[in-house]
Amino acid sequence: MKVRALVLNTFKEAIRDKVFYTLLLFAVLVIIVSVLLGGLSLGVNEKIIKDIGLAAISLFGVLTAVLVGISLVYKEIDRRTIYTIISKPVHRYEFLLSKYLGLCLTLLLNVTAMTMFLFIVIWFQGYSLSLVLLKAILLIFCELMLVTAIALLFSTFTSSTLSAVFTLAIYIIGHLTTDLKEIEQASRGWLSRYITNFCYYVLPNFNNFNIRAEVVHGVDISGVYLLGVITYCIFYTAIVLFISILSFQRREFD
Amino acid sequence: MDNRGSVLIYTVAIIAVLSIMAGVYVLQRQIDNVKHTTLSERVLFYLPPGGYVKSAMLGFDAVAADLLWAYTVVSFGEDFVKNRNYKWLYRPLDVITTLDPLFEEAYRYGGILLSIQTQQVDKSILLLEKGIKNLPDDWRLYFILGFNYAYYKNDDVKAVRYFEKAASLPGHPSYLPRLIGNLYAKIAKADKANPEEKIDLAIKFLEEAYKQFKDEKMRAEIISKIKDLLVERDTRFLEKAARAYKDIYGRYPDELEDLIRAGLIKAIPIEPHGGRYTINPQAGKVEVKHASN
Repeated sequence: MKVRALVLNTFKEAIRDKVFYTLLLFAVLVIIVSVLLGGLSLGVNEKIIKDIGLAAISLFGVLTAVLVGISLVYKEIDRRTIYTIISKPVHRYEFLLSKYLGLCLTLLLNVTAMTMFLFIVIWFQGYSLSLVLLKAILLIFCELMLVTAIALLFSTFTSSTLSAVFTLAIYIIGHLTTDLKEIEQASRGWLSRYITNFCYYVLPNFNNFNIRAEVVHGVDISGVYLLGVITYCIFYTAIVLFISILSFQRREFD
Repeated sequence: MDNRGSVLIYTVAIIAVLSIMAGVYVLQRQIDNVKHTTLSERVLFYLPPGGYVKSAMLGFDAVAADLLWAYTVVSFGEDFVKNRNYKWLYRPLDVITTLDPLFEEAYRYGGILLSIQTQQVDKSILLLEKGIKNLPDDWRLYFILGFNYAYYKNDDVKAVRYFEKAASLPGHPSYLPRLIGNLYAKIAKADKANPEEKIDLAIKFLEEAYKQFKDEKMRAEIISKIKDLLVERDTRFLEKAARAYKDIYGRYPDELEDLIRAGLIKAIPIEPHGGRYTINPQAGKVEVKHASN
Protein backbone atom coordinates (compact mmCIF):
# COMPACT_ATOMS: atom_id res chain seq x y z
CA MET A 1 0.00 0.00 0.00
CA LYS A 2 1.71 3.12 -1.20
CA VAL A 3 0.21 5.40 1.40
CA ARG A 4 1.62 3.28 4.19
CA ALA A 5 5.05 3.34 2.59
CA LEU A 6 4.92 7.10 2.25
CA VAL A 7 3.78 7.53 5.85
CA LEU A 8 6.63 5.40 7.17
CA ASN A 9 9.07 7.19 4.93
CA THR A 10 7.94 10.57 6.22
CA PHE A 11 8.22 9.30 9.76
CA LYS A 12 11.75 8.04 9.26
CA GLU A 13 12.80 11.26 7.62
CA ALA A 14 11.29 13.37 10.36
CA ILE A 15 12.95 11.55 13.22
CA ARG A 16 16.28 11.99 11.50
CA ASP A 17 15.79 15.71 11.50
CA LYS A 18 18.20 17.44 13.87
CA VAL A 19 15.49 19.85 14.91
CA PHE A 20 13.46 16.96 16.26
CA TYR A 21 16.18 15.87 18.64
CA THR A 22 17.19 19.37 19.67
CA LEU A 23 13.65 20.22 20.70
CA LEU A 24 13.31 16.95 22.58
CA LEU A 25 16.52 17.71 24.44
CA PHE A 26 15.33 21.17 25.37
CA ALA A 27 12.08 19.77 26.71
CA VAL A 28 14.06 17.37 28.91
CA LEU A 29 16.25 20.22 30.17
CA VAL A 30 13.24 22.35 31.00
CA ILE A 31 11.66 19.56 33.00
CA ILE A 32 14.89 19.09 34.93
CA VAL A 33 15.05 22.82 35.66
CA SER A 34 11.51 22.70 37.04
CA VAL A 35 12.73 20.38 39.78
CA LEU A 36 15.32 22.96 40.81
CA LEU A 37 12.75 25.75 40.68
CA GLY A 38 10.44 23.91 43.03
CA GLY A 39 12.85 24.39 45.89
CA LEU A 40 12.37 28.15 45.74
CA SER A 41 8.67 28.19 46.08
CA LEU A 42 7.30 27.67 49.56
CA GLY A 43 6.03 24.18 49.06
CA VAL A 44 4.47 24.04 45.61
CA ASN A 45 7.11 21.71 44.11
CA GLU A 46 4.64 19.17 42.79
CA LYS A 47 2.54 21.81 41.08
CA ILE A 48 5.56 23.44 39.47
CA ILE A 49 6.95 20.22 38.08
CA LYS A 50 3.61 19.19 36.62
CA ASP A 51 2.80 22.66 35.26
CA ILE A 52 6.19 23.10 33.62
CA GLY A 53 6.20 19.52 32.40
CA LEU A 54 2.87 19.86 30.63
CA ALA A 55 3.80 23.28 29.29
CA ALA A 56 7.06 21.88 27.92
CA ILE A 57 5.29 19.02 26.17
CA SER A 58 2.85 21.49 24.66
CA LEU A 59 5.37 24.15 23.65
CA PHE A 60 8.04 21.85 22.25
CA GLY A 61 5.37 19.76 20.61
CA VAL A 62 4.09 22.82 18.79
CA LEU A 63 7.60 23.87 17.80
CA THR A 64 8.29 20.38 16.47
CA ALA A 65 5.00 20.37 14.59
CA VAL A 66 5.72 23.70 12.99
CA LEU A 67 9.43 23.44 12.29
CA VAL A 68 9.45 19.86 11.08
CA GLY A 69 6.03 20.10 9.47
CA ILE A 70 6.66 23.10 7.27
CA SER A 71 9.69 21.49 5.80
CA LEU A 72 7.69 18.45 4.72
CA VAL A 73 6.40 19.65 1.43
CA TYR A 74 8.93 22.38 0.99
CA LYS A 75 11.89 20.03 1.23
CA GLU A 76 10.46 17.86 -1.50
CA ILE A 77 9.99 20.88 -3.73
CA ASP A 78 13.40 22.22 -2.90
CA ARG A 79 15.12 18.96 -3.58
CA ARG A 80 13.10 18.52 -6.71
CA THR A 81 12.07 15.06 -5.56
CA ILE A 82 8.51 16.32 -5.92
CA TYR A 83 8.64 15.76 -9.66
CA THR A 84 9.54 12.15 -9.15
CA ILE A 85 6.65 11.72 -6.81
CA ILE A 86 3.95 13.44 -8.82
CA SER A 87 4.96 11.53 -11.86
CA LYS A 88 4.35 8.30 -9.99
CA PRO A 89 0.89 6.75 -9.70
CA VAL A 90 0.33 8.47 -6.39
CA HIS A 91 -2.51 10.90 -6.19
CA ARG A 92 -1.54 14.30 -4.88
CA TYR A 93 -3.96 13.99 -2.03
CA GLU A 94 -2.48 10.64 -1.06
CA PHE A 95 0.94 12.23 -1.00
CA LEU A 96 -0.23 15.09 1.20
CA LEU A 97 -2.16 12.93 3.62
CA SER A 98 0.76 10.55 3.98
CA LYS A 99 3.00 13.45 4.85
CA TYR A 100 0.47 14.54 7.41
CA LEU A 101 0.06 11.11 8.98
CA GLY A 102 3.81 10.59 8.98
CA LEU A 103 4.28 13.76 10.94
CA CYS A 104 1.47 12.83 13.32
CA LEU A 105 3.27 9.58 13.97
CA THR A 106 6.45 11.53 14.67
CA LEU A 107 4.63 13.79 17.07
CA LEU A 108 3.15 10.76 18.79
CA LEU A 109 6.66 9.51 19.41
CA ASN A 110 7.73 12.96 20.55
CA VAL A 111 4.87 13.36 23.00
CA THR A 112 5.21 9.82 24.30
CA ALA A 113 8.91 10.28 24.97
CA MET A 114 8.38 13.56 26.79
CA THR A 115 5.46 12.14 28.77
CA MET A 116 7.48 9.15 29.91
CA PHE A 117 10.33 11.40 30.97
CA LEU A 118 7.97 13.67 32.88
CA PHE A 119 6.34 10.73 34.63
CA ILE A 120 9.75 9.37 35.60
CA VAL A 121 10.70 12.73 37.09
CA ILE A 122 7.39 12.96 38.97
CA TRP A 123 7.82 9.43 40.28
CA PHE A 124 11.43 10.07 41.30
CA GLN A 125 10.38 13.16 43.24
CA GLY A 126 7.84 11.04 45.05
CA TYR A 127 4.68 12.71 43.85
CA SER A 128 1.40 11.17 42.80
CA LEU A 129 1.31 9.91 39.24
CA SER A 130 -2.32 10.74 38.58
CA LEU A 131 -3.49 9.40 35.26
CA VAL A 132 -5.58 12.53 34.91
CA LEU A 133 -2.43 14.10 33.50
CA LEU A 134 -2.91 11.84 30.50
CA LYS A 135 -6.17 13.59 29.70
CA ALA A 136 -4.34 16.89 29.41
CA ILE A 137 -1.65 15.23 27.28
CA LEU A 138 -4.29 13.71 25.03
CA LEU A 139 -5.68 17.15 24.34
CA ILE A 140 -2.17 18.50 23.83
CA PHE A 141 -1.72 15.87 21.15
CA CYS A 142 -5.01 16.86 19.52
CA GLU A 143 -3.83 20.45 19.51
CA LEU A 144 -0.61 19.35 17.83
CA MET A 145 -2.53 17.49 15.12
CA LEU A 146 -4.41 20.66 14.33
CA VAL A 147 -1.30 22.84 14.31
CA THR A 148 0.42 20.34 12.01
CA ALA A 149 -2.48 20.48 9.59
CA ILE A 150 -2.29 24.27 9.56
CA ALA A 151 1.48 24.17 8.99
CA LEU A 152 0.92 21.73 6.16
CA LEU A 153 -1.67 24.00 4.60
CA PHE A 154 0.71 26.94 4.52
CA SER A 155 3.57 24.84 3.24
CA THR A 156 1.52 23.93 0.16
CA PHE A 157 1.61 27.47 -1.11
CA THR A 158 4.30 29.54 0.57
CA SER A 159 7.96 29.29 1.47
CA SER A 160 9.03 27.57 4.65
CA THR A 161 9.83 30.79 6.51
CA LEU A 162 6.47 32.33 5.77
CA SER A 163 4.72 29.08 6.64
CA ALA A 164 6.38 29.08 10.05
CA VAL A 165 5.46 32.70 10.64
CA PHE A 166 1.84 32.24 9.55
CA THR A 167 1.38 29.05 11.52
CA LEU A 168 2.79 30.60 14.70
CA ALA A 169 0.61 33.65 14.09
CA ILE A 170 -2.49 31.45 13.88
CA TYR A 171 -1.32 29.67 17.02
CA ILE A 172 -1.08 32.96 18.91
CA ILE A 173 -4.40 34.21 17.55
CA GLY A 174 -6.00 30.90 18.43
CA HIS A 175 -5.06 31.48 22.06
CA LEU A 176 -6.51 34.98 22.13
CA THR A 177 -10.00 33.99 21.06
CA THR A 178 -11.44 34.38 24.56
CA ASP A 179 -10.49 38.04 24.36
CA LEU A 180 -12.31 38.13 21.04
CA LYS A 181 -15.43 36.89 22.77
CA GLU A 182 -15.03 39.62 25.39
CA ILE A 183 -14.60 42.24 22.70
CA GLU A 184 -17.76 40.97 21.05
CA GLN A 185 -19.70 41.33 24.26
CA ALA A 186 -18.35 44.80 24.83
CA SER A 187 -18.99 46.02 21.28
CA ARG A 188 -21.83 48.25 20.33
CA GLY A 189 -23.39 48.09 16.92
CA TRP A 190 -24.44 44.88 15.25
CA LEU A 191 -21.75 44.94 12.54
CA SER A 192 -18.77 44.86 14.87
CA ARG A 193 -20.46 42.21 16.97
CA TYR A 194 -21.16 40.14 13.90
CA ILE A 195 -17.59 40.41 12.65
CA THR A 196 -15.99 39.54 15.99
CA ASN A 197 -18.42 36.70 16.48
CA PHE A 198 -17.67 35.41 13.01
CA CYS A 199 -13.94 35.56 13.63
CA TYR A 200 -14.38 33.81 16.95
CA TYR A 201 -16.04 30.80 15.36
CA VAL A 202 -13.93 30.67 12.21
CA LEU A 203 -10.56 30.94 13.91
CA PRO A 204 -9.28 27.82 15.67
CA ASN A 205 -9.89 28.01 19.40
CA PHE A 206 -6.81 26.53 21.02
CA ASN A 207 -8.07 27.33 24.51
CA ASN A 208 -10.42 24.36 24.18
CA PHE A 209 -7.42 22.05 24.36
CA ASN A 210 -5.96 23.70 27.44
CA ILE A 211 -7.03 21.76 30.52
CA ARG A 212 -3.53 21.71 31.99
CA ALA A 213 -4.23 23.99 34.95
CA GLU A 214 -7.39 22.12 35.90
CA VAL A 215 -5.72 18.74 35.67
CA VAL A 216 -2.81 19.76 37.90
CA HIS A 217 -5.28 21.04 40.49
CA GLY A 218 -7.13 17.73 40.34
CA VAL A 219 -10.33 19.17 38.87
CA ASP A 220 -12.40 16.51 37.19
CA ILE A 221 -12.70 16.72 33.41
CA SER A 222 -15.87 15.16 32.08
CA GLY A 223 -15.72 12.62 29.32
CA VAL A 224 -18.32 14.67 27.49
CA TYR A 225 -15.99 17.65 27.35
CA LEU A 226 -13.10 15.51 26.12
CA LEU A 227 -15.25 13.96 23.45
CA GLY A 228 -16.52 17.35 22.36
CA VAL A 229 -13.04 18.82 22.02
CA ILE A 230 -11.67 15.77 20.21
CA THR A 231 -14.56 15.95 17.76
CA TYR A 232 -13.96 19.68 17.27
CA CYS A 233 -10.35 18.87 16.51
CA ILE A 234 -11.23 16.16 14.00
CA PHE A 235 -13.71 18.40 12.19
CA TYR A 236 -11.44 21.42 12.08
CA THR A 237 -8.44 19.34 11.02
CA ALA A 238 -10.51 17.74 8.28
CA ILE A 239 -11.44 21.14 6.92
CA VAL A 240 -7.83 22.34 6.98
CA LEU A 241 -6.60 19.18 5.28
CA PHE A 242 -9.31 19.50 2.66
CA ILE A 243 -8.20 23.04 1.85
CA SER A 244 -4.58 21.85 1.79
CA ILE A 245 -5.47 19.18 -0.74
CA LEU A 246 -7.26 21.71 -2.90
CA SER A 247 -4.32 24.08 -2.69
CA PHE A 248 -1.89 21.34 -3.53
CA GLN A 249 -3.98 20.02 -6.43
CA ARG A 250 -3.99 23.36 -8.11
CA ARG A 251 -0.35 24.02 -7.65
CA GLU A 252 1.77 24.13 -10.74
CA PHE A 253 5.25 22.71 -10.60
CA ASP A 254 7.61 24.09 -13.18
CA MET B 1 58.89 29.67 9.66
CA ASP B 2 55.18 29.44 8.71
CA ASN B 3 54.37 26.70 11.19
CA ARG B 4 56.00 28.43 14.11
CA GLY B 5 54.43 31.69 13.04
CA SER B 6 50.91 30.27 13.10
CA VAL B 7 51.47 28.59 16.49
CA LEU B 8 52.57 31.94 17.84
CA ILE B 9 49.50 33.67 16.43
CA TYR B 10 47.19 31.02 17.89
CA THR B 11 48.84 31.32 21.30
CA VAL B 12 48.54 35.09 21.30
CA ALA B 13 44.90 34.80 20.18
CA ILE B 14 44.00 32.36 22.94
CA ILE B 15 45.69 34.47 25.60
CA ALA B 16 43.88 37.54 24.30
CA VAL B 17 40.50 35.80 24.39
CA LEU B 18 41.08 34.48 27.91
CA SER B 19 42.09 37.93 29.09
CA ILE B 20 38.97 39.43 27.59
CA MET B 21 36.85 36.79 29.30
CA ALA B 22 38.49 37.65 32.61
CA GLY B 23 37.82 41.30 31.83
CA VAL B 24 34.12 40.55 31.24
CA TYR B 25 33.96 38.81 34.62
CA VAL B 26 35.58 41.75 36.43
CA LEU B 27 33.40 44.28 34.64
CA GLN B 28 30.22 42.37 35.49
CA ARG B 29 31.14 42.43 39.16
CA GLN B 30 31.70 46.18 39.00
CA ILE B 31 28.37 46.67 37.28
CA ASP B 32 26.63 44.56 39.91
CA ASN B 33 28.11 46.73 42.67
CA VAL B 34 26.72 49.88 41.12
CA LYS B 35 23.34 48.62 39.95
CA HIS B 36 21.13 47.83 42.89
CA THR B 37 19.22 44.61 43.14
CA THR B 38 15.99 45.99 44.51
CA LEU B 39 14.70 45.73 40.96
CA SER B 40 12.67 42.66 41.88
CA GLU B 41 9.97 44.34 43.99
CA ARG B 42 9.51 47.15 41.49
CA VAL B 43 9.00 44.67 38.67
CA LEU B 44 6.37 42.88 40.71
CA PHE B 45 4.68 46.06 41.88
CA TYR B 46 4.30 47.39 38.35
CA LEU B 47 2.92 44.20 36.82
CA PRO B 48 -0.02 44.84 34.53
CA PRO B 49 -3.44 43.67 35.74
CA GLY B 50 -3.87 39.92 35.75
CA GLY B 51 -6.18 39.79 32.75
CA TYR B 52 -3.55 41.25 30.42
CA VAL B 53 -0.80 38.99 31.67
CA LYS B 54 -3.10 36.01 31.22
CA SER B 55 -3.79 36.87 27.58
CA ALA B 56 -0.12 37.47 26.92
CA MET B 57 0.81 34.05 28.27
CA LEU B 58 -0.98 32.26 25.41
CA GLY B 59 -2.23 29.35 27.43
CA PHE B 60 0.84 29.04 29.65
CA ASP B 61 -0.76 30.91 32.54
CA ALA B 62 -0.32 28.16 35.11
CA VAL B 63 3.43 28.17 34.52
CA ALA B 64 3.50 31.97 34.56
CA ALA B 65 1.68 31.89 37.90
CA ASP B 66 4.23 29.41 39.27
CA LEU B 67 7.20 31.46 38.08
CA LEU B 68 5.71 34.67 39.45
CA TRP B 69 5.05 32.90 42.72
CA ALA B 70 8.68 31.77 42.99
CA TYR B 71 9.79 35.30 42.15
CA THR B 72 7.44 36.80 44.75
CA VAL B 73 8.58 34.41 47.48
CA VAL B 74 12.24 35.19 46.79
CA SER B 75 11.54 38.94 46.73
CA PHE B 76 9.65 38.70 49.99
CA GLY B 77 12.63 36.97 51.54
CA GLU B 78 14.96 39.70 50.29
CA ASP B 79 12.68 42.47 51.52
CA PHE B 80 12.43 40.70 54.86
CA VAL B 81 16.18 40.99 55.25
CA LYS B 82 16.48 44.52 53.87
CA ASN B 83 13.94 47.26 54.42
CA ARG B 84 10.68 45.43 55.16
CA ASN B 85 8.66 47.77 53.00
CA TYR B 86 6.11 45.28 51.72
CA LYS B 87 3.83 47.71 49.91
CA TRP B 88 4.49 45.94 46.60
CA LEU B 89 3.22 42.56 47.80
CA TYR B 90 -0.46 42.67 46.88
CA ARG B 91 -0.15 43.24 43.14
CA PRO B 92 1.83 40.10 42.24
CA LEU B 93 -0.46 38.02 44.46
CA ASP B 94 -3.47 39.43 42.61
CA VAL B 95 -1.91 38.70 39.22
CA ILE B 96 -0.90 35.19 40.26
CA THR B 97 -4.41 34.37 41.41
CA THR B 98 -5.90 35.76 38.20
CA LEU B 99 -3.53 33.62 36.13
CA ASP B 100 -4.35 30.55 38.19
CA PRO B 101 -7.55 31.04 40.20
CA LEU B 102 -7.21 27.66 41.89
CA PHE B 103 -3.71 28.40 43.23
CA GLU B 104 -4.59 27.69 46.84
CA GLU B 105 -1.18 28.43 48.35
CA ALA B 106 -1.13 31.92 46.85
CA TYR B 107 -4.38 32.84 48.60
CA ARG B 108 -3.46 31.17 51.86
CA TYR B 109 0.17 32.23 52.29
CA GLY B 110 -0.58 35.55 50.64
CA GLY B 111 -3.47 36.16 53.00
CA ILE B 112 -1.35 35.42 56.06
CA LEU B 113 1.62 37.45 54.80
CA LEU B 114 -0.57 40.45 53.99
CA SER B 115 -2.32 40.25 57.33
CA ILE B 116 -0.23 39.53 60.37
CA GLN B 117 3.20 39.69 58.73
CA THR B 118 2.88 43.01 56.93
CA GLN B 119 -0.21 44.69 58.42
CA GLN B 120 -2.01 45.24 55.13
CA VAL B 121 -5.31 43.89 56.37
CA ASP B 122 -7.62 45.36 53.73
CA LYS B 123 -5.51 43.85 50.97
CA SER B 124 -5.47 40.55 52.80
CA ILE B 125 -9.26 40.61 52.94
CA LEU B 126 -9.49 41.45 49.22
CA LEU B 127 -7.24 38.56 48.28
CA LEU B 128 -9.02 36.09 50.54
CA GLU B 129 -12.46 37.08 49.30
CA LYS B 130 -11.23 36.33 45.79
CA GLY B 131 -9.96 33.05 47.20
CA ILE B 132 -13.24 31.91 48.70
CA LYS B 133 -15.01 32.71 45.45
CA ASN B 134 -12.75 30.32 43.56
CA LEU B 135 -12.09 27.81 46.35
CA PRO B 136 -15.26 27.74 48.43
CA ASP B 137 -14.38 24.57 50.34
CA ASP B 138 -11.12 25.55 52.01
CA TRP B 139 -11.63 26.21 55.73
CA ARG B 140 -8.29 27.92 56.07
CA LEU B 141 -9.24 30.90 53.89
CA TYR B 142 -12.39 31.58 55.92
CA PHE B 143 -10.38 31.18 59.10
CA ILE B 144 -7.85 33.85 58.11
CA LEU B 145 -10.71 36.16 57.09
CA GLY B 146 -12.38 35.63 60.43
CA PHE B 147 -9.14 36.41 62.21
CA ASN B 148 -8.65 39.60 60.19
CA TYR B 149 -12.09 40.88 61.13
CA ALA B 150 -11.86 39.85 64.79
CA TYR B 151 -8.33 41.00 65.51
CA TYR B 152 -7.75 43.99 63.24
CA LYS B 153 -11.18 45.23 62.28
CA ASN B 154 -12.91 44.64 65.61
CA ASP B 155 -15.89 43.44 63.60
CA ASP B 156 -17.09 40.46 65.60
CA VAL B 157 -20.22 40.02 63.52
CA LYS B 158 -18.32 39.48 60.28
CA ALA B 159 -15.67 37.47 62.12
CA VAL B 160 -18.16 35.02 63.54
CA ARG B 161 -19.76 34.58 60.12
CA TYR B 162 -16.44 33.52 58.58
CA PHE B 163 -15.44 31.35 61.55
CA GLU B 164 -18.76 29.55 61.31
CA LYS B 165 -18.23 28.84 57.64
CA ALA B 166 -14.76 27.52 58.48
CA ALA B 167 -16.20 25.32 61.22
CA SER B 168 -18.64 23.78 58.75
CA LEU B 169 -15.85 22.58 56.45
CA PRO B 170 -13.67 19.49 56.92
CA GLY B 171 -10.29 19.87 58.55
CA HIS B 172 -11.07 22.81 60.82
CA PRO B 173 -9.34 23.00 64.25
CA SER B 174 -11.21 21.63 67.24
CA TYR B 175 -11.20 24.86 69.26
CA LEU B 176 -13.14 26.71 66.59
CA PRO B 177 -16.69 26.04 67.88
CA ARG B 178 -15.69 27.29 71.33
CA LEU B 179 -14.15 30.40 69.80
CA ILE B 180 -17.39 31.03 67.91
CA GLY B 181 -19.39 30.61 71.10
CA ASN B 182 -17.22 33.19 72.86
CA LEU B 183 -17.65 35.64 70.00
CA TYR B 184 -21.41 35.20 70.04
CA ALA B 185 -21.44 35.90 73.76
CA LYS B 186 -19.43 39.05 73.15
CA ILE B 187 -21.78 40.20 70.40
CA ALA B 188 -24.78 39.53 72.62
CA LYS B 189 -23.30 41.64 75.39
CA ALA B 190 -22.18 44.28 72.82
CA ASP B 191 -18.76 43.86 74.38
CA LYS B 192 -15.71 45.68 73.18
CA ALA B 193 -12.71 43.52 72.41
CA ASN B 194 -10.91 42.45 75.55
CA PRO B 195 -7.17 42.88 74.99
CA GLU B 196 -6.33 39.53 76.57
CA GLU B 197 -8.85 37.78 74.36
CA LYS B 198 -7.37 39.45 71.29
CA ILE B 199 -3.89 38.35 72.24
CA ASP B 200 -5.11 34.80 72.75
CA LEU B 201 -6.80 34.90 69.34
CA ALA B 202 -3.65 36.18 67.71
CA ILE B 203 -1.55 33.46 69.35
CA LYS B 204 -3.97 30.78 68.13
CA PHE B 205 -3.88 32.24 64.65
CA LEU B 206 -0.09 32.27 64.61
CA GLU B 207 -0.02 28.67 65.78
CA GLU B 208 -2.16 27.76 62.76
CA ALA B 209 0.10 29.80 60.51
CA TYR B 210 3.11 27.99 61.96
CA LYS B 211 1.57 24.67 60.98
CA GLN B 212 1.10 25.86 57.43
CA PHE B 213 4.49 27.38 56.72
CA LYS B 214 7.15 24.71 56.36
CA ASP B 215 9.90 27.20 55.58
CA GLU B 216 12.51 27.61 58.37
CA LYS B 217 12.81 31.38 58.17
CA MET B 218 9.08 31.90 58.12
CA ARG B 219 8.63 29.62 61.10
CA ALA B 220 11.32 31.44 63.06
CA GLU B 221 9.59 34.73 62.33
CA ILE B 222 6.22 33.35 63.43
CA ILE B 223 7.69 32.01 66.67
CA SER B 224 9.28 35.37 67.32
CA LYS B 225 5.89 37.02 66.92
CA ILE B 226 4.25 34.49 69.21
CA LYS B 227 6.91 35.19 71.82
CA ASP B 228 6.27 38.93 71.56
CA LEU B 229 2.57 38.33 72.08
CA LEU B 230 3.26 36.07 75.05
CA VAL B 231 5.36 38.83 76.60
CA GLU B 232 2.51 41.27 76.07
CA ARG B 233 0.03 38.85 77.58
CA ASP B 234 2.24 38.14 80.60
CA THR B 235 2.94 41.84 81.10
CA ARG B 236 -0.77 42.66 81.17
CA PHE B 237 -1.40 39.77 83.51
CA LEU B 238 1.30 40.86 85.96
CA GLU B 239 0.37 44.56 85.82
CA LYS B 240 -3.27 43.66 86.50
CA ALA B 241 -2.14 41.69 89.56
CA ALA B 242 0.09 44.61 90.61
CA ARG B 243 -2.91 46.98 90.47
CA ALA B 244 -4.88 44.53 92.61
CA TYR B 245 -1.93 44.53 95.07
CA LYS B 246 -2.01 48.33 95.15
CA ASP B 247 -5.72 48.27 95.89
CA ILE B 248 -5.06 46.07 98.91
CA TYR B 249 -1.76 47.45 100.25
CA GLY B 250 -1.86 51.02 98.94
CA ARG B 251 1.32 50.73 96.91
CA TYR B 252 2.84 48.64 94.13
CA PRO B 253 4.87 45.56 95.13
CA ASP B 254 8.66 45.92 95.40
CA GLU B 255 9.19 42.75 93.51
CA LEU B 256 7.03 40.30 91.60
CA GLU B 257 7.51 37.61 94.25
CA ASP B 258 5.37 39.80 96.56
CA LEU B 259 2.44 39.03 94.32
CA ILE B 260 2.92 35.32 94.98
CA ARG B 261 3.24 35.90 98.70
CA ALA B 262 0.06 37.98 98.65
CA GLY B 263 -1.68 35.08 96.99
CA LEU B 264 -2.60 37.10 93.89
CA ILE B 265 -0.75 34.91 91.44
CA LYS B 266 0.41 31.32 91.63
CA ALA B 267 3.73 31.80 89.85
CA ILE B 268 5.69 34.27 87.73
CA PRO B 269 5.36 33.40 84.04
CA ILE B 270 8.52 32.30 82.28
CA GLU B 271 9.76 34.95 79.88
CA PRO B 272 9.73 33.34 76.41
CA HIS B 273 13.00 34.92 75.22
CA GLY B 274 14.94 33.63 78.22
CA GLY B 275 14.99 36.82 80.31
CA ARG B 276 12.90 37.51 83.38
CA TYR B 277 10.06 39.82 84.34
CA THR B 278 10.66 42.57 86.90
CA ILE B 279 8.47 45.30 88.24
CA ASN B 280 9.15 49.00 88.57
CA PRO B 281 7.61 49.71 92.00
CA GLN B 282 7.09 53.45 91.33
CA ALA B 283 4.86 53.18 88.29
CA GLY B 284 3.70 49.62 88.64
CA LYS B 285 5.03 48.79 85.19
CA VAL B 286 6.36 45.36 84.37
CA GLU B 287 9.56 45.15 82.37
CA VAL B 288 11.66 42.41 80.88
CA LYS B 289 15.25 42.05 82.01
CA HIS B 290 17.42 40.07 79.67
CA ALA B 291 20.14 37.73 80.89
CA SER B 292 22.85 40.17 79.81
CA ASN B 293 21.54 43.06 81.97
